[in-house]
Amino acid sequence: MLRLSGFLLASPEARNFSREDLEQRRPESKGMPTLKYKNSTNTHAQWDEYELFSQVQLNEDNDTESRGPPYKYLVYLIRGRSKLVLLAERRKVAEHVLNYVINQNIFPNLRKISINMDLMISRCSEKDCEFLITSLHGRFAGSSRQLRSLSLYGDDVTSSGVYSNNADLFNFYSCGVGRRLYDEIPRFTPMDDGEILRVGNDGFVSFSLGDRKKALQFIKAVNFIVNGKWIPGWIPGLEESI
Amino acid sequence: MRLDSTARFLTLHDDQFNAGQNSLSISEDVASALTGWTAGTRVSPIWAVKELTKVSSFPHQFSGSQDVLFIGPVQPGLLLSAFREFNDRSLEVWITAGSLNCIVIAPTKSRSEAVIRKLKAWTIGQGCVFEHWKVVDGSVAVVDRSATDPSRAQLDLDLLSTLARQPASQALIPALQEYTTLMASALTRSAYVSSDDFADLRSVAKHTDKIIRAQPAVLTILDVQSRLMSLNAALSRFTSQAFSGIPPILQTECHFWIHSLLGTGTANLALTQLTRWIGSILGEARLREQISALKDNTSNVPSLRVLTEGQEALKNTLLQASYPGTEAVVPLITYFSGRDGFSSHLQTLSAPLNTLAECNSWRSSLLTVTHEISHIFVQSVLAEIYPDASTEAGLDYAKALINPGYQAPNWHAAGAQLLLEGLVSMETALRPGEDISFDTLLQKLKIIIVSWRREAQEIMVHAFDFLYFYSSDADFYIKSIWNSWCTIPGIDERVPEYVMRTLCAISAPHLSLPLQTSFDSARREATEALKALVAAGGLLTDYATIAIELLTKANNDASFARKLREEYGARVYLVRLVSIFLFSEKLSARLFSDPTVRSSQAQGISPLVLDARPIGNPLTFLRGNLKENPSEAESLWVLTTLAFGDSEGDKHAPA
Repeated sequence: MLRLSGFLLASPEARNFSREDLEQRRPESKGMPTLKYKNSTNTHAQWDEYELFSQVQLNEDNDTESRGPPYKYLVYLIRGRSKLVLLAERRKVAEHVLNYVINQNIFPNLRKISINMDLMISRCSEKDCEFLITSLHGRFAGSSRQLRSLSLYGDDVTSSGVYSNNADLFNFYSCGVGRRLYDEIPRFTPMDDGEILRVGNDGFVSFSLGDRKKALQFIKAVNFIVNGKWIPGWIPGLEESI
Repeated sequence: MRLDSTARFLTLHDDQFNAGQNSLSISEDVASALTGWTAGTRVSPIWAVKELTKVSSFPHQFSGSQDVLFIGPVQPGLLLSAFREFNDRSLEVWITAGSLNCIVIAPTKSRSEAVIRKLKAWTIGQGCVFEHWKVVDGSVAVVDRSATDPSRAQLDLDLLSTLARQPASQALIPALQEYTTLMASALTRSAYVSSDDFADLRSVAKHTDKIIRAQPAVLTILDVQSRLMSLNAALSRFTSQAFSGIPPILQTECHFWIHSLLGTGTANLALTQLTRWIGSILGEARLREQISALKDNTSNVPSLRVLTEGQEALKNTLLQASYPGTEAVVPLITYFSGRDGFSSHLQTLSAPLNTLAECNSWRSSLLTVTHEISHIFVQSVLAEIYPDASTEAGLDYAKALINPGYQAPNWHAAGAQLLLEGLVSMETALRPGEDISFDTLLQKLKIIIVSWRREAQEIMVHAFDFLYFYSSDADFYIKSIWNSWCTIPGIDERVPEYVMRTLCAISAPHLSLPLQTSFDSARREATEALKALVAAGGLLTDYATIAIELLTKANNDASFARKLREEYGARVYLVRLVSIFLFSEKLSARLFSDPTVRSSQAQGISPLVLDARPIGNPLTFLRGNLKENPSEAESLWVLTTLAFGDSEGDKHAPA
């Protein structure tokens, strides 16, 4: 399964994105990358596949197939109204596309959607929420210096006493999101592979692209995240889905 | 994009004796700015955005025709990421410490008109203001500026007007007149430039109105007069600093002369944001109300022995992190002052002027405001539990509390009992060997209560500050406070007091240890930290060396060590009072809540980079950027980031 990482992005101004807005067919200047549209996936009308050609090596672990320079990387962009999901095989590739392609062409620049994890996690802990938390990572915010960080893993982390007794003492920076409700009702038994995606407070997302069903679950979870009250007020069209 | 590390000086020579004659230039340094100074000359430091600067020789005289647009108060990173023209390097941008904190300079061409139009529309869209100058061969003509909305503050002005008409004691009239006019200016100017300041000032105005109207029943004339005078002094400075250099720029001069052209609005906003953050979180905890409510808490009330010894009482968490209350939390009026330095009163707080130039230096760290804010909160708690020795009833209550057989009926009385134990013990420790009988103590009690108030408050404030704002990090705390003390001239004789406060504060997390052990540990840690501080160099006075000598003397002189330990032991009761009654781990965690926290300690934003990303917590951000000798540019960058980097959507962020 292909593991993709990237960012939830938004424009501070309400707008649509065309493929042409996102493409960079010729380098802006010498040494700069290009991003070329390759094809559309059949998962979602706005979910496109691109190829990034970079003069800089961005995935030292797995560049054997693209001896370069230029180095070639697959990039996925899911376009929504004012919002965009940017995915690549490595976070570093996604960062490169954002800084050296997208934000050289789109003004005002796109910004990563910061997420108030406390608020999102709190919503996910409610029983009527479609999504739940499958992992949680946080840094200790209290006064004592003996403890630094906390990681919790489970089928429904926020229903545990460890979480409810201590959540106020931590700043959470990332979590795994899974699904609680199927056909509007909860499952009684935990799923083997319950996690749909991981999300960070800086808009970082990652997930495993398996089949079409997985991809659709990912889109649904992303829409849950980017339409919540835990994202900043500067993002236009809060209710609009990707 | 990055801020250039060298300050230049935007200088407007405005010869008031020859109306209409003015000339604008960018000087290389202050000395050059003084050349050609006239009675109407004004100046402000400005810093280029490195990638966009085109000025290479000084003085830059603005030859030819240029559009100069002052924009603010705005996050520079947002502005720079909003337009392709900045990416293309076709516009020049400078950053200032004023409310209009970005200056965009464009050579006047047919295309620039459209760009300037776009910039103005964007500025209005951001809720900010602008002033547009056309500069031809250095001569300034104002083109236009953002419109004002006089109706915005109308309700508040009506309130002030009603207050001014209200019959008042003759003694109050001058202070009241000054207050109503000053507040009217502050409200109308803030309504134009800063919504957050406007909201804060509205709260202060409403609160002040209530106090004045309640005066005959609740406060004396002198109380109200004193409050008004303190408020007027703060408002006057705040208004003249934050709202100078706003449109019309040519008419709003700042009295802090190195910032006379554009004012210090960004720095004021940074100070306000920091105190707003802390004030709102501690304010929502309503410490005084919670302490007052302890009168109703009668379960498992500890004896004096339990309060003063061991760890049983330390396990309790009496405080809730937030406490429901009907009264809104009233914001502080903050300002910079060369004379007041770091100081606080009930509703006001000041920081020294030099923090503008080195807010992130150890010696002038803006973090020192936590000490002043601690004073405000500890003082409010003391108003609740400190015995009132001026009344017979208060004194009788105090006498009952020190009776050896007294068992407090509720937690409120237990707190007062522990406090009095501390006061009496401090008096006893001052006179070693002197046998003070209980009767003598009763006779002296009034004097003890009055004379030890200041010291008791200081000890409690240091412990409160250490526990809440320094996360019990002794090295960081000692480095911070001693760097700060070492900038104050002529206080050698107070070093012993400061040593004692240091020992007491850093003992706060170790109160379960036997007294001798905690005393020895505190002494050793303080000595080591002070030695490291002296070895690093850069301290402006030798107080730290004197402190080390004092602490070392205790190793070789048994009677001195005994006296020091007695004094320490007496004050530790007050530290226990803070730890048991005023500390909550959850409240402390709220102060350090940070929705942008990362998995590692690494800073999110690099120094001098003009980034649009928010900072999640001003305290963490300030601590992460403390340096020995930061440049003025780094200080401005920290102030700018603090002023505009408020956390987005954070549940604890002030509304």
